[in-house]
Amino acid sequence: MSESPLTGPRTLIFPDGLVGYPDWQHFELERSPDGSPVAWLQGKDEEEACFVVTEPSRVCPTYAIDVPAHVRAALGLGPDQEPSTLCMLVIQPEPLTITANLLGPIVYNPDTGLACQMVLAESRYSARHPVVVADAGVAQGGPAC
Amino acid sequence: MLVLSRRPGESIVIGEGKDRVRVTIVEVSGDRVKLGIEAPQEIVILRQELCEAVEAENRAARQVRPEQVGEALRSLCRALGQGAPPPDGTRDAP
Repeated sequence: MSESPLTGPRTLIFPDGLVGYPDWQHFELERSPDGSPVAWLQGKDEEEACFVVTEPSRVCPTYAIDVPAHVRAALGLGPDQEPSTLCMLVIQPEPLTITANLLGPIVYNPDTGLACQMVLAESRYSARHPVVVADAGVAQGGPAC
Repeated sequence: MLVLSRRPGESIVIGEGKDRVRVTIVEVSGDRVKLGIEAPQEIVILRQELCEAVEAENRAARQVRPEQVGEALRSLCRALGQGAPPPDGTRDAP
């Protein structure tokens, strides 16, 4: 069984930056040691580049993506090595709404921290998948994911 | 912006050598143009609105002040079913 991507501190390096932010290349994945399902992705190039992330399978149990060969090569993944995957969460406090960006996942090499943010060209996943919806509670694993 | 007129079946070529990309007008019907694109596998081809959607979510996902989302994170952790929230930004946790 592969290690959870939310385990342990980890430096992630995005050679191409994030989508729309090519200069944001260096991040630290910070989590608490108590099994928290979410972690902070703290930018080192820009103080404001701080994100809440989780494993996509936690918000969409059937989540599966195809990582193309050129992305695998860019991440330095071996033939039998699977990348770790994270998705960013958008939190709007008033009223509380939390969505997950399943369209633009972060994939990275769990051994080296080499990472990229993909945009899934042919997928049914939403950039705003509902996780917590105001007045409606939890939308985890809904049929739309 | 370079603007070229093409008819169905005609193409334009971008780049050269192994990086060459060929875009062919496959069909024109009303206000829609169907394009065929031949490109190396490592060239990412996306509908622009997908990139814009991900970029917009990246912008929205930035949490400049982690302490403001503390309660939201507790709610989220309940939603996800286990564990405690991370400290309010391990940056300023005791």
